[in-house]
Amino acid sequence: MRAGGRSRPAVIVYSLIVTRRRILQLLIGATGSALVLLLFWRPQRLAHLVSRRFKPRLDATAPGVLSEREMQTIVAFTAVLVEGRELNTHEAGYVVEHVTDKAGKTPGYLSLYQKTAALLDRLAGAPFSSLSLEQRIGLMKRHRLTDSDVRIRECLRPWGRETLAVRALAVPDLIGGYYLSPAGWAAVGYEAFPSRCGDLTRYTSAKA
Amino acid sequence: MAAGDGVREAEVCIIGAGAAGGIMALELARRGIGVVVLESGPRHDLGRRGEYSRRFVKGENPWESPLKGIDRYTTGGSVGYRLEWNRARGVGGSTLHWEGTTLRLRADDFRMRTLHGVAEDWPISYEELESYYGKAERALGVAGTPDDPWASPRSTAFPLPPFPLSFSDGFFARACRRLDIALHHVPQARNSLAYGGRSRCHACGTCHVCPTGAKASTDLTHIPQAVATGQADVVADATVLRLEVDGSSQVRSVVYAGGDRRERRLSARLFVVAAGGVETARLLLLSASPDFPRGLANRSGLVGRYFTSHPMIDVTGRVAERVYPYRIGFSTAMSGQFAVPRDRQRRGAFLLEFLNSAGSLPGEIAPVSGAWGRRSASA
Repeated sequence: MRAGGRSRPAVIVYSLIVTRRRILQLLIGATGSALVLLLFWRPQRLAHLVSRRFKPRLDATAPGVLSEREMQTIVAFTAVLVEGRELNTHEAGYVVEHVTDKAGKTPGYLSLYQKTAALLDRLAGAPFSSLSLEQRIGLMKRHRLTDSDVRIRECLRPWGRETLAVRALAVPDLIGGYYLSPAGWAAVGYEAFPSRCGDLTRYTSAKA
Repeated sequence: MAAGDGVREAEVCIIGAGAAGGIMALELARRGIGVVVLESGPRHDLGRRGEYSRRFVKGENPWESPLKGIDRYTTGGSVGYRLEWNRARGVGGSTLHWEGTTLRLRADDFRMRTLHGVAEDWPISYEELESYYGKAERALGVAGTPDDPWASPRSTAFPLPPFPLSFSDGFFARACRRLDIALHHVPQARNSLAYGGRSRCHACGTCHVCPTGAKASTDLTHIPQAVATGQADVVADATVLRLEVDGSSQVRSVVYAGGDRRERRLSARLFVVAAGGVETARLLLLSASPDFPRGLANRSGLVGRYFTSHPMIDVTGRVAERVYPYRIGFSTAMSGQFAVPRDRQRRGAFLLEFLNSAGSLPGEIAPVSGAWGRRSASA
């Protein structure tokens, strides 16, 4: 062993270079083979892997508060999604509560709602909330904004990512948030439900 | 009790203001013994429970620990168990969020080695404990009826009438009859009638956060009474960091800190560590010293090992009939048929519990069903 120098003989170094290349070749080969195998034997698994990689995801931006105009846009959008009509004051309040809560507490949601509002206003060519209900429904149908079922091939397209993010992230969130509120329980005919205290005898009978 | 700059003194110091600590504080204070209770978590005022219950239905944990850094748990085993959701730091401890189910152990549970050749016998028997069960049931206000055919004998009546079986219990009762499984009521530490200065249950459906105080929790049942004697003082947001021993190997003081992270010391004649299954072990291990290098009370080396809780396995299914779930947040029917001795040398005991709050919520169904979007799009 030489003091201060490399202790391994040159032949080992040479062999290491060859091994690296070989490893690289093997890796490429193995990855390709795995993809082919997955494609033919486990297409659903491959689809899952692809969609997980390319499906829109929340970013990690800080929570915060939506502007009044952005909130109006989100409420007008949610009204079409959840009821297909204008919401009354209580129902709109449930949307505002959900959106304020999520945007103010969970990273990424403020940004998602802001991008959703910006996209809707841009597609409308005016404040989205100023459109009539029919115009809003028409616009949303045209751009498939009521459809949260995002296909894998859509995830692979480089264009339309904003619309995709709205469909994949904002639509299910807004529908879920609305129906998690008393409006959801009203939709299934409930008067008594978690967090609304009332009649202790109701639970013993077939009364919603 | 004398309070100095960063140093306090008490006759007895109780660590943890939960089920055990709260009850202990009251029992000692009633006997004129000065108690200081150090509680790591905050006070959760009853007035805020309405807000808590609304957060709970949104899937939030209102009892989430303010000390997230030290409350990250992992569990082993094949059955997942969310330890964070089954613990609560605060005055009241885990009674803040428990469901209120107050089952007694069965007499044979105390004699597993003798009867079945497994585990170990307890050093006390059910018969010795029985009168204390009755006392605890009166203190908490347990609603029930002695219709469990597998329960061990009891000498006292339940202080409150039982909650009637739910509408969906009727479905299970019919099915169980065909399978020769008998149902019985679930004893509940929850007011079926006004009791102990607390209102009756108003079926709010969020029992892990009871907004009315109908569910017994020691922050409502025991601790206020203990404080009212003038003998007990509860210090919230005071996390005990370690117990200190003197030259004679006696614990003489604890070091604790609040939100300001300044260390304070409390001396007492006696200490009760009542911080729950996890925190009690952690504190004993944190109290290692040259005399006790493996922590306190740990000559066996078993402190912090073999912790076992009671996991649940949920089984859900769809039925054609409406069962109206989520109108109350607690269970009203169960069967103890499979907790009886039969084959306990081969198999652990288990209870069949029929949940009244189960199944998907409207807010969970709507986004995945697609019905709402399509309906509106075709409007």
